[in-house]
Amino acid sequence: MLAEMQTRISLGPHAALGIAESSSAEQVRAAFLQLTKLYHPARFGRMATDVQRLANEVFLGIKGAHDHLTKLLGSSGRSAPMRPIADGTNKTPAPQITGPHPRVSVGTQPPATRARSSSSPIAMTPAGTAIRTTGQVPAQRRTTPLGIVATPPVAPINRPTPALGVAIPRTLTPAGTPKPNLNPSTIRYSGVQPTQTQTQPLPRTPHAVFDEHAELRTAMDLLSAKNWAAARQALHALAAKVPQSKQYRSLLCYTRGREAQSSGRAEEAQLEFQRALQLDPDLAIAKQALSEVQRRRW
Amino acid sequence: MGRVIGIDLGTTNSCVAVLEGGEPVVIHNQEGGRTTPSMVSWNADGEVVVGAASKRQMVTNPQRTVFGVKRLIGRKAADAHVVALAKRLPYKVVAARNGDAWIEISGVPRSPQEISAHVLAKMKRVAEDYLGQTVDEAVVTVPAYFDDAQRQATKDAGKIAGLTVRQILNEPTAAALAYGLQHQSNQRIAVFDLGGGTFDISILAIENGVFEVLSTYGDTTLGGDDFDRVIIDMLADEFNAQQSIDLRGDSVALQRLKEAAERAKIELSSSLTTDVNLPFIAAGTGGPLHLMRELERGQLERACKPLFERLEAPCKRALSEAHCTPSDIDQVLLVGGMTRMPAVQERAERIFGKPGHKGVNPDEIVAMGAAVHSGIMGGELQEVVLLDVTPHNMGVKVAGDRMSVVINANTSIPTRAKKVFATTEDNQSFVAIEIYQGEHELASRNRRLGRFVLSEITAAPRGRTKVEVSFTMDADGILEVDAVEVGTGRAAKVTIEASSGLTQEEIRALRQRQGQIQLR
Repeated sequence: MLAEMQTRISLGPHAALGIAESSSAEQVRAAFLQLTKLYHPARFGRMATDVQRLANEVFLGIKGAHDHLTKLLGSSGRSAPMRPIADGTNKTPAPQITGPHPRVSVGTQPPATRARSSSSPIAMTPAGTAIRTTGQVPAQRRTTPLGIVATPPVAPINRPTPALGVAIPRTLTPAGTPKPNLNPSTIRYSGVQPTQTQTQPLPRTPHAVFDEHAELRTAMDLLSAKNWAAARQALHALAAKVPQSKQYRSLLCYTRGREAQSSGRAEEAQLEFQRALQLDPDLAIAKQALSEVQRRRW
Repeated sequence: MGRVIGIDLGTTNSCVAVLEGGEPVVIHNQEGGRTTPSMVSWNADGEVVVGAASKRQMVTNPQRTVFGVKRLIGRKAADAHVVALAKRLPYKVVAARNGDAWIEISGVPRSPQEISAHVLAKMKRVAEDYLGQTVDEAVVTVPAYFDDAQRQATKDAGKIAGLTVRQILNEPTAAALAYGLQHQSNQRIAVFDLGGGTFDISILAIENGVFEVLSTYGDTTLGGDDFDRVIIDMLADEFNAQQSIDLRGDSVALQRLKEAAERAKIELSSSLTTDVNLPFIAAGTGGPLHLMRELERGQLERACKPLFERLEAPCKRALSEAHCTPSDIDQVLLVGGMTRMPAVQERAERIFGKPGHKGVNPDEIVAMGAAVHSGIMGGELQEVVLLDVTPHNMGVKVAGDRMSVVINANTSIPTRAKKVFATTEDNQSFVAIEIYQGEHELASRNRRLGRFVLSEITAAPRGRTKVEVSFTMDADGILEVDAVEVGTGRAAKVTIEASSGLTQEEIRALRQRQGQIQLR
């Protein structure tokens, strides 16, 4: 039962929740609640530890799918289907909750939490990104024996920033264990240039910005699930929307290459990987893939 | 598989319930009570007495009678709160080897876990007598605002008592589960839980049988005991002014005062005046002295005003974290014996703008909720499930003793969150990742949960090498942390084994000792 669900999750958020692509926010929520009743880890609380672990992963997947779709649909998720109350126990229907709903999801930072953290020393910029500026590092940091420092925020109000979200960071693509690092949440924290709506070279609303992130996340999820065809489609859509982004196109080439590779067309794959590296010489997953293909060809 | 029981391990009273035919049932103890005093005494010959029998010894055997141990469990003896508390306790609080607050009984230091285990073992026996079968699994409740060490200590207490604690459930959440089972309509509820030792406030949404905690907040140092203490101080100060004798210096007198204060407090919930009558409370130069006085509800309320004030901030905070206004709340559940006090009810009404729900028994609903949760785990209740939150921030210590939060408080669990950190020194060869829990900006002011090292990372100028730290918290609140060097994939991980201060061997030894005690 859990393994089956895991397969579904790997097919994307709609498949995970077992709903049609055109589903409304209410349908997303209803499907999530139904699955929660079946798959919440508490249901497996008396079983073996490894079953519990798996249940935990599966539920994280379900929750991730829900949170992702909820954001995509621009709904606060919970509040809409909450009303009206059926049995009339409450006389005055409470007003709908307005504003962003703070449900933290797998690898994403909700707007409310983001706002809260902006006062902390390692705050992220509104786009949910953080990069390091050497200029801001106080001297004592160098001498700390404890070794690590959070990448401090950069909030360059007047500095023009490159197009948002396009910088697929190098950090995305380590060799060896590509899977955990393929997680798009990395993008948010490590390499993406912060985007401020007022300095954004392109006229773009924060909402559009958000969608782009979400779409990238979907694409990266699909990539890490090795669902090349679906990932290609997602990236294609993304690259079409942000044509100036080399990284998206680079990723698209990489995905095509993987698709070709998996169907045995090594030559084509090699070509695509090379193209990907031309667009973004730092895309380590492409480097790795290229060396894989070349090794196999010799 | 055997039955799973639900235990509300309270500061002053405990209660056990079991699910029967889909309904939670509170089990009477051998003395006929539906709740059992959370008190343990050691007789002169070393015999252990638990519950009502121990409460009766409170006056005659004060140094060896332990109450309110929940306020010490999982805490350090040097903790400011513990120091203040210890001054007023008739039994002796000592520091264990690792600095934990332990209790010395006849020269033997004992851990709060061991003492709680006696109460849990008693509840286990109560359930076994009723069910006619052995019970070795339980859902035990704790205040929502308990931290990791306090939760783990409670789990260890279960282990010592011979119970596998299948889940540590938050008390307000448990109350909401029990209430919601009867009232399954979609609604938002606030659980206002003022017990013997702690105050918790949780905001939940019930939606198609899914109970989702939106936020939780609390004060682990505010409870009925504090109200008793106000009365004790009031009486003792007056007596001191008249007779120049401080009754708090004499453990027997203090114990009698405590009993009288608790009784007066309870009586003043239903009547406007009560008499405090303590004959022969002290010996003066001119013969025995008595303490006799009338106490009015108004006097008590005036004296307790600072305590009432402390109820408001956590409620406001919980509401704002849940993105709710008081008018969004459909029902206010009053839980814990202290919510019987009219002034407390008025406070709750003032905060939420509506009177509290009267249909639940504030002493029993938490245990009933624990039993409901056992049904969710056992599969008897298919249509109900609980999504809880983590009450504290979880993060990593970074340069300058800063706490970099990875998982925010009130995040629905299970959850996974990641953050990337950079090196602070040129050619740094390893990073030490120290994990902390708490709300303070400075890591050292929070609770340290663990530390691990990611070594042999790429040598590079500072800031160049990056490490991605990912926190995974399961539905039980158990945290797993892993760190991966970005770019090379070099990884290290650790599961935070929350430590209650007892080693596995110590727990085993205590378990054996308990087993022998029960045979006697």
